[in-house]
Amino acid sequence: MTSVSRAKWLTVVLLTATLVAALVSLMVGSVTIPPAQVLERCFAALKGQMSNDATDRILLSTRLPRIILAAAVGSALATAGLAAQTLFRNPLASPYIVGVSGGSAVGAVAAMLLMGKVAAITFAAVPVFSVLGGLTVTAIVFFLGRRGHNVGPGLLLAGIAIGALCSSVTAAALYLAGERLQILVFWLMGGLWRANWQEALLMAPVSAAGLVALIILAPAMNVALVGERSAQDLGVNIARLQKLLLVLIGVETAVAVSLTGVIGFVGLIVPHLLRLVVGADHRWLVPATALGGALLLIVADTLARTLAAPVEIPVGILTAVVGAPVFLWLLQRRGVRETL
Amino acid sequence: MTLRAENIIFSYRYGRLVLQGITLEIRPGTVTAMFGPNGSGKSTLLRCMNGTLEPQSGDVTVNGREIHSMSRQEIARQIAVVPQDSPADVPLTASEMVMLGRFAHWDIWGQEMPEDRTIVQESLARLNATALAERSFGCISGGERQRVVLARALAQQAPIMLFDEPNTHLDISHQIELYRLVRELADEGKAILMACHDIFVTPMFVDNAVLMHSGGIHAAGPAAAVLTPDNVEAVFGASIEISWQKDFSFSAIFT
Repeated sequence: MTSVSRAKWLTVVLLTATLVAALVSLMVGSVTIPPAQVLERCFAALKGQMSNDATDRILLSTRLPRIILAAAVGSALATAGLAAQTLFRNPLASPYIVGVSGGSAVGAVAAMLLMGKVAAITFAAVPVFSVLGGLTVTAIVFFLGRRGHNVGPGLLLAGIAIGALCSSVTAAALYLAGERLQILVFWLMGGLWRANWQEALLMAPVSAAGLVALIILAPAMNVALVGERSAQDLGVNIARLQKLLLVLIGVETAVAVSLTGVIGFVGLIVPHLLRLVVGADHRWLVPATALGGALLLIVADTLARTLAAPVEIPVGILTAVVGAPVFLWLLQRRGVRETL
Repeated sequence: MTLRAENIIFSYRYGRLVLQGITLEIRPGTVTAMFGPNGSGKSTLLRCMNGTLEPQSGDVTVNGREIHSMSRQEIARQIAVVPQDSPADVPLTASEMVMLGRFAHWDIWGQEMPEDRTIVQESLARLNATALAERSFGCISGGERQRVVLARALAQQAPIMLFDEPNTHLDISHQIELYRLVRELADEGKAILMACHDIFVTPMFVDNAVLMHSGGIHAAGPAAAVLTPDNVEAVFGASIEISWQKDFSFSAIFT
């Protein structure tokens, strides 16, 4: 099978699997709702006919926004990870590599510590502070990259240094947190338990915009695989591509982390996993990665809220538990050489 | 298409002057070979001439048009570069690699057309590399990689071609094959500038030679007039005797 027909086939499989996972996720939970009823209620809601009973509330106000948020965050983290791996030509790059998650965490922790002490700051301010923290770090890294004229290992190290600085600040905050320690730790672990329509409708357009941008940049990202100098010779404005990718990684990650905390593994592994299957052509890899990220996070989050119900397991633990074995299996089968 | 560099002065940041006022014109249908010891500024000049480095002063023009007023994509439609080295850790097949040469001709959606695939096949065939098409770029030999990169430059279909020591990874028979191809391309009307180290074989295939020394042009003109024992000794510090034959081949004896 040629890589193109394999990529087309895989895209269809991933899309179907994502829809099936979403359906199953709508069905399961504290109350199990049969699939026919799930579909019936969803189509009715689309036509504007809501019965507003308990089933509707569970399906449409609790589970559906959570699934949409999971899909949007999963897709944002996975595509941001792919962008980071291409930007740095480094297989270890993830959306967190440039320190964005660290900045978001510092913002969130700061807001949580200031809650009650400064009147204007309530729990609703946490995502706002968090996104500001993440974007501040993106801006710093962007500025460093601009001064250095290229995005090489120097920028990677700068990102790691900023990340380390942010972790120390977060650690200090945890140390000083007192009785708020538990909410801080829980937030940092990442999860989707706070999901509501507002969050879902904020994240979904950010993910969609990121996806469209990456689909447009995909041919240039393919050329960027051959290194900065040759990419320029082949017609890519590499400085502009690098800036666009950096901003894209920064914004997608900052918004995702502000809404769900730091969910690891999705951004690192999903792009690799799909590269093993569809190859390195970003025109296929970008949509496949977006679907793969959405699928992984829907599955992981469904497990997170059902496995030990009524207790929730932080979803970051499960993304690795679900993703790592699949990845290792593929790695064994196809060899490291092809991963990047 | 004529590529012209006028009075190029270039230095890297905080560095010494690498190019000290170079003027050079590459015309359609000719091969110009650029010789000079390591560090004489050959590669830097090539990078200035395709606009990836901006000189401190002087102009580079493509058919009279200032190169820095053109987008990277426009430049790549006019100038193809064959680099000295290509990273091997690229997760693409040889034909996908050659397809990258078509990027310069694509619109924003990057949709490849059937004609792109034909051009890729033809370019690979011209380099006798059709058999490599589906092989992974990282798993073929250095010489095979160089041929794939050359095919990629052909796929760009640019009227001007710049070669940076293209024979580095090639054995002698592939070197001759490369020179024949370069000659053929020039005869088809392309303007070619080639940086190379080999002052013994290359001159047989080129029209003009430029001998670079410490960022300046020591001598320029027909190869026989440029590669004289005096010039070679002055630039390379190697003492040789050269005797030119009628067919532009020559023998050289180290003394």
